[in-house]
Amino acid sequence: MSSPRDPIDDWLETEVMPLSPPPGSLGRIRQRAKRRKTRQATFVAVGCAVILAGAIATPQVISALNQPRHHSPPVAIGSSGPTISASPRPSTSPSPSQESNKATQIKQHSRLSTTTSGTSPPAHFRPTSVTFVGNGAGGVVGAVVGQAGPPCATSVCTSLAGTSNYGQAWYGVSAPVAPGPSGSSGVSQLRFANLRDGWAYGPALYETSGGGYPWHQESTYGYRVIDLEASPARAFAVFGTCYGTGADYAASCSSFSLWTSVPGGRTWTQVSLPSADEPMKSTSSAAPLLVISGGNTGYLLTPSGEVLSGPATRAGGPWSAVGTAKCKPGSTSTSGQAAQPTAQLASGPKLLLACATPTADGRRFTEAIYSSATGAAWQQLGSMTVRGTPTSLTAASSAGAASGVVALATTDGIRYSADGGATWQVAAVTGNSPAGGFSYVGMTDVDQGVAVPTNTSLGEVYVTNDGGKAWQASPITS
Amino acid sequence: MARLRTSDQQAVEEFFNACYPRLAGWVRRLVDDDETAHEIASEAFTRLLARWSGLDNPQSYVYMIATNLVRDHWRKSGRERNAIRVMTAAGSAEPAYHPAQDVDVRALIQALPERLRSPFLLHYYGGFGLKEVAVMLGRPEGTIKADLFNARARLKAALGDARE
Repeated sequence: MSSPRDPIDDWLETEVMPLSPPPGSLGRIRQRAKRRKTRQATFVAVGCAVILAGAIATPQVISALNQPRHHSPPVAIGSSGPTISASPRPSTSPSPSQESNKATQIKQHSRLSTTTSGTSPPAHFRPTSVTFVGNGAGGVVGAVVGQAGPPCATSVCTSLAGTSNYGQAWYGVSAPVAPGPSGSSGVSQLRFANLRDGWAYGPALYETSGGGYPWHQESTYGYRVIDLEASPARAFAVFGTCYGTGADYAASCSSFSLWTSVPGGRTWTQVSLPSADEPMKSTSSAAPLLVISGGNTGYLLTPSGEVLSGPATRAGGPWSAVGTAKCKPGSTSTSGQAAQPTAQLASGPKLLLACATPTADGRRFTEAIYSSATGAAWQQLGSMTVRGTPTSLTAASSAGAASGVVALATTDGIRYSADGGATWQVAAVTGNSPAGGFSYVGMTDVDQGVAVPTNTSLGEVYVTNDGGKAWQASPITS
Repeated sequence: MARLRTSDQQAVEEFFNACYPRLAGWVRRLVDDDETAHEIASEAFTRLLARWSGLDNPQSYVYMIATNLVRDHWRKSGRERNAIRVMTAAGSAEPAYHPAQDVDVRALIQALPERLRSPFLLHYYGGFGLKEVAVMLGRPEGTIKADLFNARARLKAALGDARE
């Protein structure tokens, strides 16, 4: 006998039918909201006036009462009046559990170090993003963010780890008190501009100017942070109006804007873009791709396929349209990675663009590689067929070299090119490529690079020391 | 500052266009009345806009407001039904169910205690993840998980009783 279907499931699985607003609804709502705000402001002003009047009247009353025969006690004038001051926009109030967790996490003040912080990374570390910055002595220091546990010290398990020997060993670094990505809260990605100044983001935004301690949540004006790139002088971030829930925080985005901040700054200002791109509309939820080339020029591939460029060293821009790319960004899903195979953007000696087109059988992708000096004219360098969905593109070159190493991560593995993108080989991954492939790849120079597996539960990232030919697992452990 | 305000205006319009239809549809499923659904959705957006600049998560806020307004509507309509029954003294013992096929479940959700109802609606109906609901309601994620389990268990038990 078949078991009867659960009516609760039936009810929950019934799709909600959207109900369009009657014409003029938003205008009426705006007017009502404005009237209410005015009423509230009037109420507050009246309240203040009453208190002020009381404060002014009080001395007179007191002076009258303070005649020798009354002996009234003195009154502290205005001590109980309200204080109105301009305050920064409030952030989402932490839940009681987060408040109690904060105390637990603050005890461990571990920062990025050129040696070690002296603490171990938490167990069961599930890395979602990795970044490397110069150590000031010709080497690099890496940092990885992810979720750790169980067990973890608190119910908020966002964790950081650092490495000073390119993944041979990792040490613990203090993390922002934030959950993993869920709708508009939590973080999943990490960038540092130097050993001190960094940002944890996606979709919320936290900043540290102390190499990992303390972290401060920054206002994003209700937007979600979809992408962020940092140069030593300035950071740029793509803010999105998105409605994806759960881990798909970068899904269902309708528009995007570009914002900037200086390392160590706590405020973000919007970057002026050409009027046609402000805001950048997206009908397919495709998110812009952002890269910073050589630390001084920023490039943005808009959802419409337009290439914008501007100075990465100052806030005001101007950013302008410089060309049209050969393909457009794809829609985004978890962690902001492209869900549909379209464009990947990277900067090396030149801008590099990888455009993926599904093959006729739908099982593979033809990946065409283009380069451009300025984002205006694109020349095809090479092409290849890959099995997995392309997720990330990176390039690195020696000083003065015309071409360098390029690597492409897919959900099937990693491909690399030693001649700037003209010819490609399959990279060797020790122990075979992890199931699900890689969500990110980045070369820090022509020899060393790092990749993040799609399956974060592996608890490791992969590193290469030979220009992308071979990749070895680097477990996030001490 | 002016730029921020312009951005806010655009953000409000985009948010409204993207969110209103689903929110109103969500409310309609709970009240089964287009007019009431529009009233509740409009009121939720009005309250949202009245304090838009102070919010980091407008979507959570507007759904929380709508959830509370739906609860108030249920309370009010329940009182009205009771009053009519008392006044007519011949009121049918049958509840005034709407013809929608999901009315049994809706009536049972309506009867859930507030502690269980809000996470149930926000998670299963609003599509918010466990972590988001935990933040919205200021409760630990584990508590939300337990609340959802208890809510489903109660609904199943109540539905079984109602159909026996």
